[in-house]
Amino acid sequence: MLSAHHLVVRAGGRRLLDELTLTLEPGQLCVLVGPNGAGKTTLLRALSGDLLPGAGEVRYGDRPVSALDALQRARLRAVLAQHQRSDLDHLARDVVALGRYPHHLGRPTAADRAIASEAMALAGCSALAQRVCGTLSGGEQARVHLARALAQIWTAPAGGHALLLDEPVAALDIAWQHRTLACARDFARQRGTAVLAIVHDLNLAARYADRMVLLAGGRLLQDGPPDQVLRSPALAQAFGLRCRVLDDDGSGRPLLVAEAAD
Amino acid sequence: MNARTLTLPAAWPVATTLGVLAAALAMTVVLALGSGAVALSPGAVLAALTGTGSDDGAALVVRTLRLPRVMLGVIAGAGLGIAGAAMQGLMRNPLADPGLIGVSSGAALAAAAVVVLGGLLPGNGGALSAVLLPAAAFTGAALTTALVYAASRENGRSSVTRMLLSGIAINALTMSGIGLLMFMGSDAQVRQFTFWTLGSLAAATWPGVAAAAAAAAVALHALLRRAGPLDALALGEAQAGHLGVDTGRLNRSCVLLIALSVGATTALTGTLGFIGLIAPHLARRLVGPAHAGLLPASALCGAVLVVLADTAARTWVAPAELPIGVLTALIGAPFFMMLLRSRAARELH
Repeated sequence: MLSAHHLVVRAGGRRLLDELTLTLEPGQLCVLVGPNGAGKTTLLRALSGDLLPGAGEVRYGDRPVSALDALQRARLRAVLAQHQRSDLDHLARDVVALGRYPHHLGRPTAADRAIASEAMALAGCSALAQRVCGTLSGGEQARVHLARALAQIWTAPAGGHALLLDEPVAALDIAWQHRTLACARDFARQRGTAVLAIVHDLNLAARYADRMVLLAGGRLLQDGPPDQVLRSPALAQAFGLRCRVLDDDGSGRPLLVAEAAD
Repeated sequence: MNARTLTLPAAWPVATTLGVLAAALAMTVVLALGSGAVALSPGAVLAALTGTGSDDGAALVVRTLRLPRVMLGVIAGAGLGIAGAAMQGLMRNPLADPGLIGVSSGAALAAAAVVVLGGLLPGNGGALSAVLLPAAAFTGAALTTALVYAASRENGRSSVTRMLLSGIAINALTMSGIGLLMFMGSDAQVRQFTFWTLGSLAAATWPGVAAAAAAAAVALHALLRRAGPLDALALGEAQAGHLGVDTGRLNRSCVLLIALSVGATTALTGTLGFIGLIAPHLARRLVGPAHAGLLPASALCGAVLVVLADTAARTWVAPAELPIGVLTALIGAPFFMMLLRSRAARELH
């Protein structure tokens, strides 16, 4: 439902995105990987409507994003930014309820509160509901904000909706990294949401992604099932690192092992 | 001990807390009406107010002399409380205060300019000053709010340090402006210097109280309609945008509403420091950070604070009168230092 067509974003004489075309599929977790400066966050910002591309177009369904106002966009897609304010005085429960703002516009109903608590259960932070957000650890706060993003698009509008996650596991320990990506994948499957997540850990990404997209230099280099992308020579090239691919007998998935850098 | 860990989830529904605050304000008003050269019991005050008392002298003192002044205190405190809460929400910054960052003194400078350049005196300029003074104060407040807001932003984010530093610069500028006006003004106008810098409720008149009340009511109503977007703004400007808030429009309308609230009261009372800082902090402890409860609670807390401060100002050294700003600063400045310390402690973690 969310698609990018021939996007070009320029900054300081460089092309951050170069003729990039991508369509997110409903019900899929698509993981965006690539080296620093590849244009991952720029792509996410263009998809969310925060950034207007110099050329090309982002479409929500068949409508260009530029034709939608902030509220219309907020009802179609949720965005989890990489950094969140860490000193909020609000209870975690109230932060999650803010995710329902585009639907209740400041007057939450019982249904909004019920959705907020379901979203907290799914994101694994129900136990934090009555805690003041600013007193939580970074990882706990990340879960609360994930629940807020899930609550925002809990009820599917006609034509589907999208969830854009910018490094959702950056602040988490290994167990919560896995739980969070499993949660994103399950949310996509259960609700038919098109989920896009930027993840740096390639093996972690491959474990949960339905689809993996490799970005480097603002261009889309690889797009396919994780197995295929992990085994492609373009991956090692993009990162400028020699890698070996092992087969993990347990999961049946490939494992990427980097050689020591020179 | 971290101040935040003391913040407990409100045990009472917000409406109950607001009711208790309103009752506290009513009691404060009765206390204030009974205090002064002629001390009156709460019973005598109520009798004088309702016209059921037999003491005509008490009725005159309460209804004619003290009531306009106490009501001006209620309105001014409410206006500053609302403005402080909105400003702290807008700047996502608990240290924002209309006095501290120069908005009040900007309003005072504009009003003082009208007085001196127009040859008026506060309270006796007639109908012209009743319209001109608040209009000038509103304009001054709007300009300084917009200036501080713009200066405090860095890469689209509001920075505490930049806000406080630009506040220092703007306060210095407006104080020198007021100084210049006093140099140009007549002797009688110069005697009003403390009115603009330290505030006073002594010049209360019913038309003035009514005008300020109307301005504060409009600001409160309009800000309450923006309570949801202000709550979302707490997450950050980008996050609020992702939730569908038109942050540019919200910022502009809040700046105007803050200026309306501060300008209307400052034209009548001069600058009353720190009320806009303390009232929202008290209110946040009582009703939590959601603006639907925070804005009215800040109005009530501000009203109680100003009425108490004014009562102390006119009774402590009677028959002389302390400038009310001396008292609000005496409480407010240590409070501000305490906030700075608790913030600094938190940011180290």
